[in-house]
Parts: sequence; C-alpha cells; structure tokens
Amino acid sequence: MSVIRAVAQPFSLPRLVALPRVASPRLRIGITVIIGLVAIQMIQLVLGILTEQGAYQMADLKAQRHVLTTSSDILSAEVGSLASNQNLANSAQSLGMIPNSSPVFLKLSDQSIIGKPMAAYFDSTHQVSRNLVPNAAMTTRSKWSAVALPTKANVATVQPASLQVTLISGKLPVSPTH
Amino acid sequence: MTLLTPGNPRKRTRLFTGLVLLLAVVFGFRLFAFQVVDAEGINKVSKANRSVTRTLSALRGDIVDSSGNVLAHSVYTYDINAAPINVQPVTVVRNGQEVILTVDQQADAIAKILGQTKQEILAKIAGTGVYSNLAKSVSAARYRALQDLDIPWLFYDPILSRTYAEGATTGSIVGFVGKDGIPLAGVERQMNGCLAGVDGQETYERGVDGIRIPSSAVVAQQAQNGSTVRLTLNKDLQYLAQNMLYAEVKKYKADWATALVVEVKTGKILVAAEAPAVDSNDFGIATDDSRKSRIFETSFEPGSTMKTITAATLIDSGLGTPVTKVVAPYKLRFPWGLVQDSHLHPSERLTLTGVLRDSSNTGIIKIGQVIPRQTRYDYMRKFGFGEKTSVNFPGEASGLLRKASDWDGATDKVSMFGQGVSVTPIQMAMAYQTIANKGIRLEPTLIDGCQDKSGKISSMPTGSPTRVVSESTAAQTMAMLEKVVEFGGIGHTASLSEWRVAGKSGTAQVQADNGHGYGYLHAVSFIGMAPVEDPRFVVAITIYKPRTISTSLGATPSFRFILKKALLMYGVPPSTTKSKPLQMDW
Repeated sequence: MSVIRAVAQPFSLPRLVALPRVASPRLRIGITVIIGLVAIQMIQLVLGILTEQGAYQMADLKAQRHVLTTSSDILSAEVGSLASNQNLANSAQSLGMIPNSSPVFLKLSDQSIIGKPMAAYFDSTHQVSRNLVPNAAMTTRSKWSAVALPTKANVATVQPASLQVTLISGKLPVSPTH
Repeated sequence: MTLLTPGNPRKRTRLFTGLVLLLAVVFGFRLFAFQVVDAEGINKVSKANRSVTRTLSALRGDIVDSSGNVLAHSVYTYDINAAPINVQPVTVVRNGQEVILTVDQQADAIAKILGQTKQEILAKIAGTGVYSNLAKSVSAARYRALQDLDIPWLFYDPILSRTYAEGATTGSIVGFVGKDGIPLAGVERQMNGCLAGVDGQETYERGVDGIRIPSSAVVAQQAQNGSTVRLTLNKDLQYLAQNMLYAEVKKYKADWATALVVEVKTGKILVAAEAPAVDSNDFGIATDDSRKSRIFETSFEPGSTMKTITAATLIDSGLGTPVTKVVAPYKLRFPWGLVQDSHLHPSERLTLTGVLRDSSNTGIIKIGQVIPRQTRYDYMRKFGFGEKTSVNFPGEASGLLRKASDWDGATDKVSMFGQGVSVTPIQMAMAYQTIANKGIRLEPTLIDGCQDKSGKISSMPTGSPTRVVSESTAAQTMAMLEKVVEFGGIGHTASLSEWRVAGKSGTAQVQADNGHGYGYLHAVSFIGMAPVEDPRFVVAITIYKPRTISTSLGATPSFRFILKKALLMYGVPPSTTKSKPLQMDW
C-alpha cells in the first residue's frame, strides 16, 4: 500500500516584476502621423508666408517696372525728339553750318581723285536751311548758346587757287602698305 | 420647478444632451447646405469678388525706314481723370515739409502741366460726380509730373498710342492711327495685318488689399505683339526733299508739291515727299487734301513730260529716230481748236531731239501723228498709265487713259504732249524709270516686307518686270533727254556740274476750279535721271498751281537739290564721260 505523504513545499508569494514599457504599435503610428501632419502644416505655413511675401515683393517689382517703363518712355521721347531731322536742321543752322557742295571721291581701284577739292564757303544761300516740316513729337529741342554765324571774315569765300591735297600726276601717293 | 428639482440629474443630462444634439443637427444641416447644396453659388460669388480679368494689350509693330530708323512706334499715353466727389484740400510733403494745398492750388498745378487754364480744371472737377476726364492721351512726361503732385483724387488710364518721331516728314506715306486704335490711312492702314498684334487675357484672384493671390493667375491667352513693317524710304533723304518742297510751296504760293526718288535698277522708292503733308502725330489739324498721299492718290494732266513717251514710242515703232526732221510752227490750227507753243517763235527746223529740247507742242504733233493712235495707246499702257501700280497704296488712283477708240480728235493730238490724259506722280516717275532701266519697267516698291520678332522678313509681292521698249530705243531716248538738260532753255537749269543728267520739263494746264475748261494756273514738273552713263536714280518733281511762276523753272531747283543729295548720299562718283553730239536743228 502506497502512502501518500504530503510533502511540505516552501511557500512563496508570486513576484510582481515590472515589465519594460512597450508602446503599442498603433500609438506609435498615431503619434508619427500627428507629428507628420503638424510638420507638414508648419512647413506649409512657412511656405505660405514666404509665398505671400513673394506676392508682395512681386507687386512691388511690378510697380517699379511701371515707374521704369514710364522713365524709359520719357527718355525715348526725348531722344527721338533730339534725333529728329527737324531738330538736327535747326541745330545745324543755329551753329552756322555750311554743307560743302563740292564732292570729291577717291577711287581705290586706280587711286585717282574725282572732283575738285574746294573749301566750303559762306553765303546765305549755302547755309543749312532751317526746318520747315511740322513735327508735333518734337517736344525737346537742342539748346545752343548764341553762336556767331560765320562771316566772310572767318570762312573761305573764294575757291582755293590750287588743290589742297598733295597729288602725284593727279593720283594719290601710293601707300607703302598698299 | 420640476426640471430644476435637485436629485434628478439624469433628466437634466438627457435634456442637455438632446439640446446639444439638436443644435448639432441644425448646424449640420446648415453646414450641409453651405458645403454641398449652395456650395457652387457661394463659390461663384466669392470668386467673382476676388477674381480679376485683365486684357494683356499687344503692342502694335513699328514702321521703319530702309535703314531701320523708327518712323512709327507704340507708346503708352494716359487719360487723366478725377473723382470730383473726393476733391478737397490735401496735405503733401514738399521739400521734407508737410504743406496743405487748397483745391485752387491743386487746380493751378494740374493746369500748368496739362497746358490748360485753372478755370478749365476747376470747372471739370466741380460737382459730386465720381468721374471727370481732365485730358486725353497725355504724354508719359506729363503723367509723371502729375503723379509727382501726390493728389489722391486724380487717377490715370494708360492708353496705347502711336508716336511718329519724324512728324510730317513721312506722314503722307506712313499714315496715322485713330484714337481708338483703328488705322485710318497710309501704310498703317495698308499693312494692318502685319502691324496689329493679338491681345491676350489673364484672370487672377486678389486679396482684400488688392495684392494678387499667389498661384491664382490663369493666363488664358498670351499677347502677341505686332510685327515690323520695313519701308524702302530713306528718311534722311526724304526729310531733305520734304524741307525743300515746303520752302518751294511757300515761295511759289503753290497748292502743293511732290518729289519722288526711285532707284532705277530696283524700282525702290527712296523718297516720296510732299508738302504740305500731314503730321501723323497731329492729323486732326490737317486738311483733307493734306491727309492723303498725292503721289499715289492724285492724278492730273502731266503736260510735256509725256513728250518723252511719245518720242520713245515713235523710235520703238520704227517710225522715227532722234534726228527725224520737222518744221515746227508757232501754232497749228485744227477743226477742234488751236495748238500753240509756250512762246512766240518763227517756224523752226528741228529734229525730234530739238523738239524735246524746245518742248515744242507743234513739233511733237507733227512728228508723232504718224503713229497709229492704237499703237500710242498700247505703249502708254505698257509704260504703266491708266492702271494702279503694284504698290496698291490705300486710295491709289489709276489716272485716266481712255481707250484709243474713244479718243476724239483733240485727245488724239494733245495726248502727245500730256493733255487729255491724267497720271499720278508715281506713274510718270516709273515711266522714266523704264527709259533709264534700258527699256524695262519695274513695279515700284514702297514696302520691303513684314519683319517678325525673329528678324525674318516676309517680302511683299511685286509685279514682274515688263519690257516696254528696246534697249536701243531707251538709249536713244536717254541721249535726247540729256540734250534737253545740256541745251534746253529750262532743261539746263536742272544740270549738275559733276554728273551727267537727263530729263524733261512739263508745264501742264490744269482744270479750272469751277470744272469748266482749263484755268490760268499750271502744274509744273521736271523728271530726270543721273548719271546718264549708268543711271542710279529717277527724280520727279511736281509743283501744283504755283502762283508766282508759270513755267517748269519752278521745278528745277528742287530737282537739282534732291538729285544731288541722292547722288552724294549714296556715294555715286561724278561722271567721267561726256555726251555724244546729236543733231537738234537743221
């Protein structure tokens, strides 16, 4: 007959052990999403501010461009007016300019001179004509201080007795570089 | 009260929850209505409030001369407007100090800039309206000066306008554009298809401060600027001619004058000047007659310059030569009337060359009457009379050349010396170009082409060259015309000492103002070419109805001046040969 004997077992209380704290995967994802969303919003905010700033800057630049375009238009009109033939004619006359009506040509092929070189001479009919052609766009005119018109005293009045260039047998001296 | 009875919190909670739910439902419905049901309408109203649609104006292309000098250009001008309701004294900063400007002072400052009186400005800003125009199409300089006044009740509308730097120098050819941007005359009208751009459009949204909301711009269509029209004109030579004509019109008290310079070998028109001419910047003050280009639009009986055509026809038909002899009396009587020369003289023994030298009407009739009238008509058509040139200038006239079968006895005879037919200045210049170009008539060219942004030029279609007379006939005719300049009473006043010149004068009777017969005034002209040995230019001068001179002596000073300037400007060397002798009398 077997005997069952109770054996005394040492008594021990269950021990509570602090488990390492493990975040649930769902929470991690949630937090990541929230942080991501916040980051995106922040970035969007910063970009928005920068873009808005750019819009104001662009508006400023457009205003500047308008001012500069206006300045350019004003200057173009002045240059156009000063460069017009009407202004040039008036200026030439104011300065007492005289066109030389004796053309002289140097013929390169045989180095001959065609025409008679003569000094321009003054009489009232030779002076540049004043402008007679209307031009409402001529809003700016050249201003010249009073210039003494050429007179017979200071401008050649007669045809020079001889040619004023040195010629050899009616030809130009041959250049050594020819 | 039962509801507030203490000890019944559950009831209160339920009631509160119910109310909250009710509110949530109401708000939910409203939200649904805003976001879904009415969303489209609300969005539309919202967008309309902040969105702006703007036209992107296309710039009209330039018109330039043969060297690229700008003759017509688009610029912004400004309409100056005011809001009278807001007119009041303003505080402005002047020299770093704040000063108060009264309405009177503001009006005075505005008036000085706009060239108006203070009273005019005060009248325009009186009242309580929100809009009053003070001035239209003001220049950028004046606009800037007005802006600098810092007057808050002024506002400005930019307008695209045209400016013409050379004024009346090229006005009759370039034409002009109306205030509404519609081209009204000249090349502006003819070449509108090239010059006009295509406006664009953009839509964008703006905030309450008027600033564009970033990324909101939607450009529906980009603006396409117009292309450039390049003319054959030389603006400097054109100016010299124009200035000369203004002086001559004044001197001779003439109605008008024209000058043409045509390049013989290309048919290019280098000068198409006239006086008085329209200043395209201010076309409103020009007379109707001055607004058009008489060179293309006005036809008149040319007179003796036509004798050259008769002589060339005679030679080319084999019916005569430069030395064909004739006895030219002072006058010839016909059943329909009398033909006489310009000056009293005994009968003269002349050759055809002598007839041209003396410009004898009786002589040309006696020599030319051997040509069948149909032959003469055919030659005149081949020379380009009776039809428009290929320039096809707006309003261009074709002149009047009746069919030979419709000629009466008088037309048959007087047409030999340029009466009974009418021509335009450009037609007659091109007839002389034919003689100078060895008998080949070119179509005149005024417009080189339409040049796009890349610089590519689309050339204008031109007519093909036409052989009108033989090279020999052209050479013989040139030789005769040279004798006109060497020995003619009027002709020699057209000569130049440096170059050989050929040409012919014309003194034509013109229709009386009442339309009945001829009046006492004339159209005087001189047409010629140089240098004879290798013609470069044809110059044609017409002075219409001069009152202090009645002969072509009125046209030769302009002819000499313009021809010499052309030869100098283009560097044509002086002639080194002389003309050959040609019998003129017998």
